[in-house]
Amino acid sequence: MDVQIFSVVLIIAGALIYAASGMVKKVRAFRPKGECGNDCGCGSKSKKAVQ
Amino acid sequence: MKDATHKQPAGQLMVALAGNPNAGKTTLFNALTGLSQKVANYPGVTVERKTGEWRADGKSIQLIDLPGLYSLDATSLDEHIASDVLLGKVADVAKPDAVIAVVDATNLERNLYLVTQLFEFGVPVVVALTMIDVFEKQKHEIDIGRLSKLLKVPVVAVDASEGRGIDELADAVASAIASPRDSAFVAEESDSANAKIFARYAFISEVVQKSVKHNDKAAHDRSEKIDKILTHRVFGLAILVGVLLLVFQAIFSWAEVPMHLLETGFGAVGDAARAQMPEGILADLVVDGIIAGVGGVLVFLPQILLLFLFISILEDTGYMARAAFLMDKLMSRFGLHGKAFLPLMSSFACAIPGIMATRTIENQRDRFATILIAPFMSCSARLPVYTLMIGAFFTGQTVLGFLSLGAALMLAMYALGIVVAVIVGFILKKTLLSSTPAPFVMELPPYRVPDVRTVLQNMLTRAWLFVKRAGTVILAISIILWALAYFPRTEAVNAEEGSPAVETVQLQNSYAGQLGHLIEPVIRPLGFDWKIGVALIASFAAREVLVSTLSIIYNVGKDETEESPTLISAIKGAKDEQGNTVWTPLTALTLMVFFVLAMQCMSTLAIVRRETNSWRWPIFQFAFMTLVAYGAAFMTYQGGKLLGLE
Repeated sequence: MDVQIFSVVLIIAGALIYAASGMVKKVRAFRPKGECGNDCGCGSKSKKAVQ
Repeated sequence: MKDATHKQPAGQLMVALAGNPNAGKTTLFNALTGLSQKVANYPGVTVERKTGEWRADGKSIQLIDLPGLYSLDATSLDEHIASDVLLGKVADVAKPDAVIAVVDATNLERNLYLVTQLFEFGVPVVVALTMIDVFEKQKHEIDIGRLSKLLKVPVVAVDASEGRGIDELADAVASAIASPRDSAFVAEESDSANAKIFARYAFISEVVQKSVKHNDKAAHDRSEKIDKILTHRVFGLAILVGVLLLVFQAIFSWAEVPMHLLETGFGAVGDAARAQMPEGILADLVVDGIIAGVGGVLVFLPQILLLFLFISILEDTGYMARAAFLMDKLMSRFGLHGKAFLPLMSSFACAIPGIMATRTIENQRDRFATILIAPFMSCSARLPVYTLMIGAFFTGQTVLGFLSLGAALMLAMYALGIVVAVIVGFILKKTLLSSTPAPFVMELPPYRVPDVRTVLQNMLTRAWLFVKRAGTVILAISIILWALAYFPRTEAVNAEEGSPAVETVQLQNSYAGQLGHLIEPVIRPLGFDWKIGVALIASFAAREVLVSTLSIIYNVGKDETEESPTLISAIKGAKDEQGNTVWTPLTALTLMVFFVLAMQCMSTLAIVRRETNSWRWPIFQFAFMTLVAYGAAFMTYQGGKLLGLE
């Protein structure tokens, strides 16, 4: 493979991996939390707390 | 250390420590217990509970640190727990024998509000007055004996970090337990919530007037006089509009030269890289993808620096609080909660901290309404889009003969976001999220000369975030977008490379081109072509990516032998396949309107999902914001055309 093409493939792969890891982090943030902790917006309104 | 089953030994006194956040409660707790605190959660909830042993006069007292509170209205979980502790309703926590109310002398009125509520629990109260040294430095004097008489409770000045007043505090607690006094203030049970608040503040005002001497009366009077104008419902708003116009005017005029230098610099770097590198795909990626993409966004650094310089100055002088007060008056008429204003203000920098700041709003319906309207506030990521459009089509023109059209348009975009947010908030509060507005008291800080260090620090922090984002997220997206605009390469293109027409055909046939053409029928009524469509899709990752995408698309689509144009000149000269001008002032205005109102931010949706703990709200928010943005952009473009605008 041509050095230029190899370099471009590497750079694009790096960008894709970076973007994908960012996406994974965001998808994790989308997941519902099993229980409320300090970093959970619903913490102060959990059903348990209201009871 | 977990202490969920901790029990108080028989005969041991129990004293609770209560106070506003940042009143010095933890410092005092640590000083009294010698840092021997035990940390646990209140049974059933995740609110931290700290207990410790206080050895006073050879006696052992169990000290319990209540959560930091502004009131005991029992509307938030913290307040609910604190009330339960004081009433002896919490399992494993005995009813306190006394309460030490930690009161910050520099915020006496606000801190005493909690004290008046503590009186109602029938538990002896001792006031520990902190921050006295700061209070005196502010040229105020406090008569502690008089304050104690008026409140009918012992008041002790303490300096926990120096250990001063600790012994006196122990004596005062012992005497308060031994001989409890009648409360100085008890709210009428029959009064409404608002009437109780006013009665408490009336009592506090009388106490403070009689016990505190302000030696800076001249400055205080001056401050009040200024407030009469700056918070006036007519003059105040006019001054606010004037201040914002001045800020935007300064951003445009002061940033013009550095922005031009940066543009020329990035263009020169691109040309130099092209000249130094062997011709081929790598040079194309570096010049048309990386330098054009990242450089296209970084040229807006001067605007970002200036925007945050002005925001920091306005905050530090105390003016921003007055602006908040004025806007709160307006918002409350539309049923929005007073506490919504600060999250909305934060959203002018970025919606994410703004949405997280809604946690201070106790009522869930009020909180969700604020979350849903926060992204309408023009965040700093929209600034490059506004600046690009204004820079390309609206510079050098004035309104009313003196006012820069660019500054007026910028103000109009910020105002549009606020107005739509208020209208949507009003509709939400009348329909899906209806609830009774809660009372809200806003504290106005004194005016002061801004601290240069704080201002510069705030400005540089935000600028660094912008540069970091350009070097990470925007760099990665620029590379991917370049690849989407560069591939697939067809044989025919390779054979005739170098011709401008061939470059245009290549771009049309690229993955990005195909995607753009796919959505073109939907965005055509807004005056947008497929290239703008690609930029709109890409900007969902981050709003400022619109700028880098346009930069890449116009760079990839140009002849390689041409010098790198500035993005503004590329936009102004862009033609469609039929040779018609793509961008007009009306297209630019329509794009700005769309950007004010559209939910073009995946990170914001993620945070809404987390904060509402439901998919329903982010989906609903994305749908209604996109519809509102499309509708408003459609009306702008089609309405403009009907009026004969171009």
